[in-house]
Amino acid sequence: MKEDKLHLNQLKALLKKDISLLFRKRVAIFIFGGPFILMFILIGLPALFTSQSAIVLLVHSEDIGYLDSNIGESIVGNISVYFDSDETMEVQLTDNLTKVLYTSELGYYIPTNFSEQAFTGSPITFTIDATLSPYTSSIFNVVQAIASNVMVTYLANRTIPPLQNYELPPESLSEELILGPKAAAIAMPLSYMIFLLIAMNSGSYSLIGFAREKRMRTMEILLSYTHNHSYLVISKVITGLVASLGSTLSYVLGIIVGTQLSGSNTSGLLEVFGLNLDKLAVGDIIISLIFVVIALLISTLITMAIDCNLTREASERVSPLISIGFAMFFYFVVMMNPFATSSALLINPFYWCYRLGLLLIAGVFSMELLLYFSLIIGLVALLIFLATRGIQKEKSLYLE
Amino acid sequence: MSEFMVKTVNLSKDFKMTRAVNRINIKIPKKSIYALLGPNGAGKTTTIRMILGLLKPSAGEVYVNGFNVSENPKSIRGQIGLLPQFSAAYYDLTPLQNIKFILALNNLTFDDVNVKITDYFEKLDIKPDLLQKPFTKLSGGEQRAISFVMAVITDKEFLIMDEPTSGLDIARAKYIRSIIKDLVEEEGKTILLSSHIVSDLEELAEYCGILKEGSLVFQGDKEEIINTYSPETKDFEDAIVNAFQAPVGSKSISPEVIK
Repeated sequence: MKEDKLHLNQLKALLKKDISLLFRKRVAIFIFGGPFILMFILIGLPALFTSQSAIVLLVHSEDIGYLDSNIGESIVGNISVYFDSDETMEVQLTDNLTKVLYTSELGYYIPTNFSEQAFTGSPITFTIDATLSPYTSSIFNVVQAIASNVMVTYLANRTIPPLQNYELPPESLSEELILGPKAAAIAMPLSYMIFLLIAMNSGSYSLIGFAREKRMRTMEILLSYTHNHSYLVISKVITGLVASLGSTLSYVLGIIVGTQLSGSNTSGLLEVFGLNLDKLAVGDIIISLIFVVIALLISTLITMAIDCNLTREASERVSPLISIGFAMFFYFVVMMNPFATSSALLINPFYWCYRLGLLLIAGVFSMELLLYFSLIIGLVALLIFLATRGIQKEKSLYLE
Repeated sequence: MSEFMVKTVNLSKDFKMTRAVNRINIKIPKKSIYALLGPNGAGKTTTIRMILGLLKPSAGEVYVNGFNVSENPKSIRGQIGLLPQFSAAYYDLTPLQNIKFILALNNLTFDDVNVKITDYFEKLDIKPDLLQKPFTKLSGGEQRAISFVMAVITDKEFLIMDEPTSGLDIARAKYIRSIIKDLVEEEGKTILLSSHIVSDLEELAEYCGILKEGSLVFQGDKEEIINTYSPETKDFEDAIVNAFQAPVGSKSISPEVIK
């Protein structure tokens, strides 16, 4: 009992020391200030030097209609309604084709016979004018989707649809049918959060890991006084989690402040990751956040295991690469297809977290779920064992 | 219980192709100061690390206070106070935070040691405002003095001190020697000392073990080393220098000399 208390006190002391070191001036600026400053510079600063006014979409419809129906007019009306609540976009109607064609911003023109040709089934054209940036392309995708919707409704029912807010559906994926819309909605935000937090974590490895203890020559003291060496690892892992969560918070705040300066509406903390509270249940968001933390835990443990088993110089070089390598591979594959499954992904621990999170959110309790759960538990235990055994090896005492 | 705080039996350590420590038999009597001496690279640090249970011996045994460290390194964890050769502390923390951390690791609070630590601070001229500065802002001597306090304040029966007075001014070095003597004479501690400073050794060492090229070439009390290596001048420093220069095995004294 007395010994248990001593062990617990040692863990508390180690944790207090590691967390205190995290909040030292230089370290804190790097870990907690760095992401904020970076995102502020990337997003907010350009906004201070550029116009904060909304992008103008200049629209002109010459459509005279056909059989008392004017599809062009309806499209223009629907576009206006769609962008009405978007402060970054301003739809302006004009009666001059030249202005549309030579606008320095975005232009959209519907010709005179648009309704007639749509009605008779002839190919129809409209004109767009824009700079070819991905952002403006995405705006025209929206415009085109609205136009298609109006036309399809008209051709099917021979009635012009009323002005409405469009919910543009995402592309349907076969796996989505199995896991359901909830998992589909959270797939991209979850993979992004896992990747981002691991990327954030990797920057702080050299500041929180055992490499620093070796540099300060405090390893001997820690190893001599600490009864249970796994506490040394646990303390570092918890500190790593605090550091990366702090970094991420700083990153998010940087984006929020930056976007506020640029006049955009993105202000919610979860919205930065694409987590829309209107569409997702709070429980699902919590589950996904739990798996983000588990992925972080694995990432930190990988670092500790490498850090403890290699000499200082080698571990400082190798450990961030391994975690980031796994995370990048996972993210880029999943980004292409959120429901991708390949043998290369199956050996990726971050994919296990991601997939297990999706299965739980979808409520699919299968052998697959059990497999990923077992793999994660087994890996965490193995990494703690490797790290603890590593720091007891003589290499941990030597700088080079 | 063993009469020796430390006893090694044919202790050896190999690093790849190099034998760093070769079949040494050290015996450190309890409540004594034992100086482990030797030229640079003689194997002192490796021996100390094996005694601490941080390095696994390639062969032989280490016993600390009767526990077999080679078989079960966990058995002595937390039983030895350590003052490493370099000021091992968290440079971003203040001396007070460093001391509190070491105390907490040993299940002690600052209040538990308040009287004793205040006495050490007074003797070593450590002003209260110094304790609030980052460790990195202290001078080398101040850092060493704080490190010394961190090692002795944990109240361990057995203390290992590597160069305890290195980098200290004359006054602080004198007080540290006096504290070390008090720890043994008044509190019954056992101290393993590794030092190159002759004044420390002359004043403190009761027993000496001399390591050379990984082998223990001499072990005995101070008088014996003088009689063996400097019989004419009876000078302690000469005796140590002669012992360092003598070829391995030339004047080896049986390790059993410490009765």
